[in-house]
Amino acid sequence: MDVYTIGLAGGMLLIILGIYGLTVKGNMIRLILSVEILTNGAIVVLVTFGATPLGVINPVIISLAILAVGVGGCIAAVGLAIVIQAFRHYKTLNVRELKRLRW
Amino acid sequence: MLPYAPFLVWVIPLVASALMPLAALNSRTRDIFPVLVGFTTAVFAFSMVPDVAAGPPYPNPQLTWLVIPGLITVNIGVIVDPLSVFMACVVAGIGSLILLYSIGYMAGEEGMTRYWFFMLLFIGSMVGLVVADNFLWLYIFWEMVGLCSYALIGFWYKRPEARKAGFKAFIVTRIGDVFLLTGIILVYLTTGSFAFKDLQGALEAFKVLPYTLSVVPFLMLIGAIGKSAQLPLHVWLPDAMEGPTPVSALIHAATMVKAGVYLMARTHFIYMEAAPEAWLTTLVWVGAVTALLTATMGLTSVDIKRVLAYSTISQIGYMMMGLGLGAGAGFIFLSQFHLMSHAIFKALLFLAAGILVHSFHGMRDMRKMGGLWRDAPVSFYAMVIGVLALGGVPPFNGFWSKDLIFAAAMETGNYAALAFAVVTAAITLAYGLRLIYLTYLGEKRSDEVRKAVIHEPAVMTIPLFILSALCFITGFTAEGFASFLGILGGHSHVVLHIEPLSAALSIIAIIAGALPIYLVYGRKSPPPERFAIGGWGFLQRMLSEGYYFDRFYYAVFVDGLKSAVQGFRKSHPGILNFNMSLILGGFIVLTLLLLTLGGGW
Amino acid sequence: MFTLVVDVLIFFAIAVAVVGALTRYRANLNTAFGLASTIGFGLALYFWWNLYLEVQRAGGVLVLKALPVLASSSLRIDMLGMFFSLLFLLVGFTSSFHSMRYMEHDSGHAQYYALLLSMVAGMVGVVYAGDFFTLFFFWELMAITSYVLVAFRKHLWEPVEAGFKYLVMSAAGSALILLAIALLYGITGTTDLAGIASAIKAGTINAELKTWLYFAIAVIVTGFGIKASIVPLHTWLPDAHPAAPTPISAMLSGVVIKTGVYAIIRMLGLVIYPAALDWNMVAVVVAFFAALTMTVGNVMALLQEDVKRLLACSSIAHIGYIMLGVSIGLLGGTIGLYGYTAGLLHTMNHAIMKGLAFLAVGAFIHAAGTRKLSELVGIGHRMRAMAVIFVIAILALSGVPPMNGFVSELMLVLATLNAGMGIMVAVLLANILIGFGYYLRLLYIMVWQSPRSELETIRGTSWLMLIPCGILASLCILIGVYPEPFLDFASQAAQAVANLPAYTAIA
Repeated sequence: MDVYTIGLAGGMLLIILGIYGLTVKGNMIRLILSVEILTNGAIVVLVTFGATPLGVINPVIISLAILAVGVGGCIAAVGLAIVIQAFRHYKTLNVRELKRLRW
Repeated sequence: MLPYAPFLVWVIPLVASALMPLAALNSRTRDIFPVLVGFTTAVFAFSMVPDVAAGPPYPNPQLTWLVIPGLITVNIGVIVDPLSVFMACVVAGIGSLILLYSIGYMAGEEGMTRYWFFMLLFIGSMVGLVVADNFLWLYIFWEMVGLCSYALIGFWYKRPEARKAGFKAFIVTRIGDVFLLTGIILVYLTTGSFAFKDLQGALEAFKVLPYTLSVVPFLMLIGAIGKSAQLPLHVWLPDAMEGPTPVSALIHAATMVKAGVYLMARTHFIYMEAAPEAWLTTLVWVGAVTALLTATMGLTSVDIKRVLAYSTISQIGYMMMGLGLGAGAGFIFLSQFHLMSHAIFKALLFLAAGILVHSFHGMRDMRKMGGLWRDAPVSFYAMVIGVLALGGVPPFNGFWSKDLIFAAAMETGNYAALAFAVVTAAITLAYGLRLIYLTYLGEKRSDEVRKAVIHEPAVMTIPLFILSALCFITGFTAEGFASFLGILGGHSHVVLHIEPLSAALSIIAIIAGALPIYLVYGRKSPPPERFAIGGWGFLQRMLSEGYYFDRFYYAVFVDGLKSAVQGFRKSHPGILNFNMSLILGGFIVLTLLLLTLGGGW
Repeated sequence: MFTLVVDVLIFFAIAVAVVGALTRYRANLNTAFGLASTIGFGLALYFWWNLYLEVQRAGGVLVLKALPVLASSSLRIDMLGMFFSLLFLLVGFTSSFHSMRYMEHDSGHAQYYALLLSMVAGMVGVVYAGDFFTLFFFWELMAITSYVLVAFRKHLWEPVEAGFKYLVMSAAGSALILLAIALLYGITGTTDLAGIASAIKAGTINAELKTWLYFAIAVIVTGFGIKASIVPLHTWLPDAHPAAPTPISAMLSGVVIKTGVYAIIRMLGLVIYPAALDWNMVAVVVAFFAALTMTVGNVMALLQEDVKRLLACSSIAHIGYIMLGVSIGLLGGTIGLYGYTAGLLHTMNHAIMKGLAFLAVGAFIHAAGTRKLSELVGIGHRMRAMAVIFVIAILALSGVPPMNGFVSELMLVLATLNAGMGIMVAVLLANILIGFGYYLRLLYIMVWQSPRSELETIRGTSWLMLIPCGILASLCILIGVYPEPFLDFASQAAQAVANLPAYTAIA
């Protein structure tokens, strides 16, 4: 197996894991984690593609990956802040209780 | 014609309406300015008559409005031909008289700037509608007159009934409008142009008519049905009587509701090419059924303006029928002649009724009136002339124009339609006379009416005199009218003198209509109360409910729709995991669709 | 740095934030911050005009970043970008103006205006970006600020719940966008938009590549479609848009969802378009989703009891109309040009009229303190001037001539007919009819009916709210009566969509 296959398989695995978490898990923290896993899966795919076709690592792709990691951090921060507020209002972390808004 | 008259005739009132806030700085100019504008518009409209009387070619000036190079070009074009000039004259002429009457009727009302603004906007848009030479501008003006109509029905917006009525008119006519727009779009699709004359050219060029064009007549007919309040979209017009009486007279009797008839007349060339038999039959029967059913509704209504509204619907049904019969017989001006008669006598009736309604501060219940002929002589005589003209009594104009429709029915051999027409004519005279008996004769039936002081100021009576005189005169102009509309050219066999048989039918209808009313309301044997019980009572309730159209629509389109939407609501539980599953599902469906259809596997 | 338009927005955002921090967020400086932010938007509009002249003259503007490592990171500004950025700035300007009065009872003004300015900066950056790195950066700037703005009133349960749902769904969308970038990079070896398009054009498409490209299209449409709220990716929108403060709702419904539309147009119409795929099929698939979107949006809006939620649902429907135009655009040629023009004109009109509708409703909500239709009965009688504006907005939304909505809906119908999609015309017209039902219901309840006694104390509307609404309302009528110049602008933007040689030539 070459790097290409391993990278792609790993990335896709992470993406599937993320999607699984988002559609099944009810805990809000786990949902934030799932989003992060999903993003990281995409980053892995990106880095894999960035590494192989040219034989050398493309600086643009690496900076894009670093940017994406940073963005993931921001999303997690904002998300957790909202989770704290939600916990104050709903006294639960179960997202299935957050269903006052329908339609 | 005056310079640039085909454009100025609708631009002047539109610009004037925009200037109303300025004119309203002084309360005298506020009321005088719109009337002056109205008469100026009328002068411009009538100044075009000599040009078209001379015959073709008719002027057709253009301005560019909307262009994407190579893709689409839409012009603002106007057409100056007998039909458009005739309609413009009716609108501007009757419009200016009614504006004059409004000074008296609306004196001291709040929101007069708004009133004048919408009246002028209406006159401008209505004239624009009839002079436009393409479907797109016809549609734009069509919507604009609609907007003015809703706004003016709801003029007294503090009254809940007025608001509801304006709203109902908005919804019901809009249903027709969507069909009209669909028809227009299909025309554009087939011919690549909105202009009437391009469509006519294309129709002549087609060897085999495209399938799309054959549905156009029916789509446009639904549009006309909505605007002209024909069955089954008639429910808005009786409620529209909540508006001020001059508005009812101008918009909901004399002009806007005729837009459907105008549209049918303007575009009859499509129908004659695309679907002659089916279209003519549909038109005749929509008109005939509407005319009869709504006339019977008019027999039981106790609201003076609602009687006139039902009568308007019924008479427009007559015009539709006349159009269908006349187009079959080769002379479509029949409906236009009745349109002119009706515009005159119905405006007269509304304005005469308006004097009473104005004096009673909006009270319109005929059960409370009675014996008013001494107090309001001008209104009484105007009403009598109007009812006789409406009922087709010679020598008033209604007799002549109705007679032509009878003659056309005989000419085409459509005796079923003829029967509908004759029965309707009898009922028409009957409800007209009933209205006079209930309001002007007998004795006053309530304190409200006894105490009221009835004013008949000159600004309100002058239009009545003019319209009464026109009721006499225009009946005798059929010959000149026909040659003006220029449609008689190739059909010299059509008779314009009175045929003995159709005249006899008219006389029978007059007697059959007048006699029962005289017995019931004049001799009181049997008395009117007799008809409120038993089988007659059932009939009376059904008629007063307007054959339950309103209730049916409400049950299906409001309650039915509500429960359907409530059912759909269950598909959105508002749970985040479910939302994410939807995204995943959407993504999978999209991928599968693309890969399968694109052969990407 | 990123052209003056973006720079001035970022500068004002930072300035407002710094001043807010210096005053320790204590003083109620809403008017001062609002004024600063509005001036910022005004300046940005002025710079936009200069840039427009430049783009008009040279056919486009290219701005390269200074850092040598990131040399390919760039802004590539063409007419399409100019078209969208004008809408963003216009609605941003009016929302910011409106906020000066609307936000007076809230706290955290410095954060609010800084976030608003950053969000618009992000949106403008997205439409100017000529490179995936830049695009992703600005995309996330817009997205993260909008999460915070939705959940801005954190002391209430609704914005928090809506904000969380929005954040999770939208972040999943961002991950998909990243995946799409990775795929396109894997196929072509570059992140430059023009470079990807040129590489796709130069290369031959074998069966395997075709599969990857279709997969990339699916990822792109889903990823950006979450932001554009294409059904079934729409479930966040009716929660998030009403929960935000109303000027932000105007931004979100009026323009933020349009960035998703922009990205889809740019990706499918320019970047992947040179590939020899079955574009007619793609167009039909997109049209299918467009039909689904407009129908579901309209049906959802029918019985809403919350005025902002109703308007938000109608935004979904309008996205459906716009996506229909885009799908026709994908057919290419003159037919496609027509479709893009119609879609873009409707984008412009919807931004103006939906922004206006939200701002007008915002004035009502500000006065009455409620969003429930049953409690806003007859509010128009108490605020006459605003009621007139609201009526204009609603008539425009329902497509009544002579308002702007009619012109673009007519164009859409004509474009659809021109493309031979007869069924879609029927769907479109049926939807316009349904839409009419709930717009009228809104008018009937809020303007027609007699006012409730609870609303007796309300008198008139603040000029600070009337001026921005008046600007948009006059645009509604102007575009309706004299659409020529606006149509011309939209058609210039449409011509830029699929014009790869011109896009590549921008220097």
